[in-house]
Order: sequence, then structure tokens, then C-alpha cells
Amino acid sequence: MTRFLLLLWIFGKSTFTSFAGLASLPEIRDELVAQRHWLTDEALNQAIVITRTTPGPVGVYVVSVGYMADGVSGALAGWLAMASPSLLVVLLVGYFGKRAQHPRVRSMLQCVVLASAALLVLAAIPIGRDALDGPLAIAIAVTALPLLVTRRLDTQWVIAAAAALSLVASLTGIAHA
Amino acid sequence: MAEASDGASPPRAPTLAALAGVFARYANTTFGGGSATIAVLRQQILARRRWISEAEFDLSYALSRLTPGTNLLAFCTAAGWTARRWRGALVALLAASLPCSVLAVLVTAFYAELHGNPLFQSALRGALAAAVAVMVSTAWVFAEPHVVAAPRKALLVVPCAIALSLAGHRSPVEILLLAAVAGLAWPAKPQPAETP
Repeated sequence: MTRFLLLLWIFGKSTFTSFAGLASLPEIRDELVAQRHWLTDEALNQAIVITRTTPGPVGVYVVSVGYMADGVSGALAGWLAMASPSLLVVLLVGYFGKRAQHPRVRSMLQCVVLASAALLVLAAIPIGRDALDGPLAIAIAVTALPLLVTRRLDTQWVIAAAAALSLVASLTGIAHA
Repeated sequence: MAEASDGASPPRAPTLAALAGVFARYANTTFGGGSATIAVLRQQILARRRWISEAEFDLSYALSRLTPGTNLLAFCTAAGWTARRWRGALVALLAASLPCSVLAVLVTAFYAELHGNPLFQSALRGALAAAVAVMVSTAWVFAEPHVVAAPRKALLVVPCAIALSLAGHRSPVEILLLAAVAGLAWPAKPQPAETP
């Protein structure tokens, strides 16, 4: 119980003070790796790899770290710390929702969405460097992009088809993705 | 096909079961991180089902980027609250966060077996290659309505955000807060309905 509460405190103070999936990582590393030696850097890296290999939010790495630190109760602490900050958005939506038609609020939303889009393209660059490591992977990305931009296919179908194509290519030895 | 709505009909309130089903299915099965998943949810809850309006989507998305924690879960909570208030917010949050957490625990427990499996690795490489395209296309899907509605803002905000990130080394939340302040200082043109 003590370890559960301690993990909840460590994860909670990290997630409530960060604004993106992996932004809580330095604080968690400092507490669990550098100070308490409950985990190694290798284990932390493994947790990040796991979030890349599973669908859903990147922030779910906290659940994986919690499981490594204290089994199912650690995972529960991670889930609580990951999910609970989201409830704060209700206060923001409640406040700005009533003023959503105000020209200044509309402009604020426009600017935040535009800046988010720019940051999203920047975030895709390092992931692309890592993921597009062969001709098949590049071909998949180049083919998928126009299908997604023109919204001819749902994203999930595109991802499922890409996974199946890569699997078939690997099984038949046609190409290395 | 992705877009099925004419975009003009008013939002329809979903049942809590339907809300749970859509958020559980789409928030836990999309590769490419939060924004890619939000793009998939946009197709489902706005374009296909009209549970929220375009303006409500923008509000939920923009504010989720300014909320502590995981942006995707904040978006799901905001969209659930918009559709069905507190019960919708809690249902959407649970549906979006529990299955992927259970999956993360299972993959952590069986990490060595899965990552030593060449077939799993091959399928994953293909999915991650497509996820890069998903991220880039998502940026366009989100930005397009605002590029059309406010092209001058787009020409200023997008390069400034890139410069602040690459040259200024500012964190995403600092950039988004600066964008919010810039937006508050530079009001949008009145919509046709607002014109006297």
C-alpha cells in the first residue's frame, strides 16, 4: 500500500505538471531511477518502446513503468496518474465553451490548432527517421499519405493494410520493411 | 469511406453505451500517438455520427492541448463532456484509457517473447511506417479549416511555431500558450450570423 501511494504521488506530480505524453519522463526517471533505484534506464527505455508498439496514447508508458515497479498495483497507480489530469479539461471547456463564439476566443482556438498542427509535423520527423528505414516502409508512407489526406480510407484500414503488407513481404522475403 | 456527413446537421447526443463503444474501439486501436487517434475519433464522432459540432471539436482539441497530462485523454474527456456532460466525460475517459492500459501491462509482461518474434516486428514496422503518414495527414486535417478561414493567421502562426520549436527550443506547451495569447490579441472576423 505504501509503495502504491508513493508511486501514485510520484506519477501524479509528474503528469499533473507536464503537457504531453513523454513530458513527464524526466521527473519519473529522476525519482525511480536516479534517487530510489527501483528501475534501471534500460527498463525505462523498454517502457517507451512498449508505448510505440501498442496503440493508444504515448502517456500509457506510465502504466508500463508502474507495472515494472510494483506489478498490478503499480500499473493501477500509473493509470490513475495518467487519466486523472484529463478531468481538468472540463473546467476549461465549461469556461471557454460559453464564450466560444466570441471573436477573441475563436481566434485563440484557431491559433492553438494551427500551432498544434505545425508541432505535429515536427514531431513526425524523428519518428519518420526511425520508422522509414527501408524501401517498403517509405513506399507504405508515400502511398498512405494521399489516401489519408483525401480521406478516401479510414486511418485504421490504412494502418492494418500497412501491417499486413509488411508481414506478407517479410514472410515471402520480397522486401525488408 | 471516411466522411459521411454533410457537416450541416446539428449534433446528436449519443447513448452512454454508444459513447463507450466508439471511444473504446478507436482510442485504443490507433497507432501514431494522440493526435493521430484524435483524427480517427474526429471522423467517427464529428463527420460520421455528428455527436459534436465542428466548433465543439476545435474547442475540445485546442483545450486538450493546454491541459496537463495526456492530450488524447483530455480530448476524449472534453468530447464526452460536450456530448453527455459529466457521465459522458467519465465514460469516454474510462473507455479511452482502460483497454490500452491493460494492453500495456500485457505487452510489458510478455515483452521478451513479443519483441523476439520476427513476425510481430515485421507487422509493427509496417504499422509504424503508416503512422508517420497518419501524423502528417492529421496535421493537415486539423489545420485545413483554419487555413481556409484565416489564411493570414496560418501564414504567421505556423512558421512562428516551427521557428520557436527549432530555433528557440521552446517546449510545445510554451508555444501553444504563446499561440493562445496571440489569438486573444488578434480577434477573428465576425461570422456572417454575427454581422448586424
